[in-house]
Amino acid sequence: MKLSKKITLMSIILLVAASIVVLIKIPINLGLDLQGGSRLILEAQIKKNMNIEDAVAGTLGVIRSRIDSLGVAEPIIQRKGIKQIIVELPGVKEPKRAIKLIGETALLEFVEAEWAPADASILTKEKLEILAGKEARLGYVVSKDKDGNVVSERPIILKRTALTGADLKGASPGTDSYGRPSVSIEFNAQGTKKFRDVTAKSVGKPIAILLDGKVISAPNVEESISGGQAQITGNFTAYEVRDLVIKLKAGALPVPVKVISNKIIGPTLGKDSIEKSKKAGLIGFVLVCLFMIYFYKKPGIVASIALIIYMLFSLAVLKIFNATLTLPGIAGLILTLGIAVDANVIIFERIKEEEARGDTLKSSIDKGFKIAFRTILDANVTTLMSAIVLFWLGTGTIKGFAVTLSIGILVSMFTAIFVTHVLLDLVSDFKISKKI
Amino acid sequence: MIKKYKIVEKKNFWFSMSLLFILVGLTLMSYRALTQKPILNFGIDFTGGTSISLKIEALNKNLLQYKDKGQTEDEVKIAFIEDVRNVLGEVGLEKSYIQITKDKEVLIKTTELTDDKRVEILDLLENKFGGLELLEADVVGPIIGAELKTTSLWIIFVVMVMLLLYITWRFEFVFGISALMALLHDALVIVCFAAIFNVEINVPFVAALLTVLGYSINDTIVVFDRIRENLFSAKMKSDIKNIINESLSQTMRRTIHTSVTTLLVVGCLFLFGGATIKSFTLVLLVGILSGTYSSLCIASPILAMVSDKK
Repeated sequence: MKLSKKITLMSIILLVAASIVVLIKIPINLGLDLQGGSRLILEAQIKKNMNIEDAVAGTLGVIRSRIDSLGVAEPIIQRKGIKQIIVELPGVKEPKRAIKLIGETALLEFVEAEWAPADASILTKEKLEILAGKEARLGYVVSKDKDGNVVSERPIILKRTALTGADLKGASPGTDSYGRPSVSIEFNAQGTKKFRDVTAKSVGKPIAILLDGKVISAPNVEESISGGQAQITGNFTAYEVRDLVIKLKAGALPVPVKVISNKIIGPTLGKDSIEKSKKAGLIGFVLVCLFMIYFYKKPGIVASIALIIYMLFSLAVLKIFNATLTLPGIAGLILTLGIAVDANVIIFERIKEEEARGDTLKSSIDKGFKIAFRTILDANVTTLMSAIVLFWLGTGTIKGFAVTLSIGILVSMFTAIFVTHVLLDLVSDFKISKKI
Repeated sequence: MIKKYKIVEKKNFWFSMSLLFILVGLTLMSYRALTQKPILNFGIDFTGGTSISLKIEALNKNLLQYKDKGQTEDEVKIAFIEDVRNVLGEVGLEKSYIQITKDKEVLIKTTELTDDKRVEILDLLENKFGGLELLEADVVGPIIGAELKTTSLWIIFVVMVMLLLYITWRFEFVFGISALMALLHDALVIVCFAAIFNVEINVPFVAALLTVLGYSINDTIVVFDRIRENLFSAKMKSDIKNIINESLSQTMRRTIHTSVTTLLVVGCLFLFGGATIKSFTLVLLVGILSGTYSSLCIASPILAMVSDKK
């Protein structure tokens, strides 16, 4: 056996050991259908004279895209009654973060402002109006220390809203010049122009940045900014930055929502059918191994071992990627199991053909693998491409299915090409040395 | 020796078989469309429906006593859900989603119910279980939003273009067209199957459909790969029909073995996997058969026809 083969064999053994550790240590995420999860009911706070249809449909869309970016696989988002929305999230026993993410309106505003005198209590409403116009109101810039204690509150006069979240093109997490977490934002064409105008007007004065009516920071403008980019700093933690980015990207909710119910629900498919499916899958797997051993003898045994390794690897990778397994995901797994068997069959049939042409076993194996590789590559690349498009354009269930499918295809190629090859070599080495 | 199959010659037979099946399905769907009925049996994932939440005393009682009977809490819940499902089955609603929340409420999602039907169901449940309290009944919207319909069209379009480009690059344009025809065939067969046998269209159905298309393209490419190889090594004289027949014969064992092994797994799930996933696995079974068939009897003869014309 060549050194390179030995190295491959060793790495496979190591990977198998690692997969077993992963399978034991990390529990697999199961979807709503298999495990249940949290069920939130939200109610849109519709004001009078509002088009209810538009408001609820818009809210539904924003919530959907926020949850999609949260990376919770396969949520259910559904309208209920006239102004309620059901959100079901798999396995989330502590849906606090989700509630915060879904429930906050996330209305971002850039407001022309002016620092108020330290003793703001002398500013009555009438005085404010005279000083700064009709829309003017008083706000406070709160700064906190590391532990979240309020250090100071500086009063600020808020005048006119210049830009909102609707003027954004994108948002991404970043850090400010002190290394603190911040949100980098980019304006669209209209927003860029508005921002340039307002910064030009406000040189030497602050611009207040408000989220849901609360001032999160109020930087002083030093010069007009025309690049269409800005940075929001505040007392953010890295988590808060991540969630704020998600919210800004998905846009503000058209109306505020209120969580009116939060319950833990059981699975829709039922644990019995999961147990039954597990058993059925196992029976199927054993039958496949028997079939392979009957038709291909020793290589069939090799293929069976390779298939077991395939199952170990793909489940481990799924766990590492934190994927959520649902019924559709299981369909993806079955398909890739079929593809993994297929790769072995293609290889064995090739080796048989090469042997029939009078080659030695060793060179038949090498040739067979070489030719079969191209077949397997083309067949799997086409399937993988479809999976990638599904992931790219799909949502929810479709996305989850695409993840399972892609992982399965890549792992099945790996096991067929490396694991089966090394094992076959081992078997043939053994055979040849016995002959001698 | 490898048995020689003459598949390309029988193309008219294959094509008429497939067309017949697809025509039956399409006719049925058009008839339903003309009579203002839904063309397919769209489930509540697509149509929305009614959501009912109940407190049933019997469940609370069972959950208090399970330890005496030597059962686990989950077993009690499973048995109870089965009982509820059986009651709903009496009015043809056995496919509803039934869930139990942590605070022992029973959630039922069904197709949209009229007030009369809702009262009927509640009466049936009360007859079976005794005291119950209706906490809430409300109309719920679809899980699959309308925007998914437009995204699906996009997905189909982009997948087709990418497959065509890849296959044209690795093979030839005619191979790409033939492979796409086989895919179209399988999609139509499954949809028509669903129309004829009234299979419920839900999220798992969509996943099964996608799975089958993945299987089908994979299978077709393996066959095409052999045709490509034989085209390279063939003498100029040998015509494409023979080369394709030869290639199909050479790969026949592999095609059958792969199909059988995949069917073994899916078949086991169908037979032993329990009632809730039966229609899902049935679609997979039909689709895998169709995918295998289409590689041999649709994609390859079309390839022969299109290449011949050139």
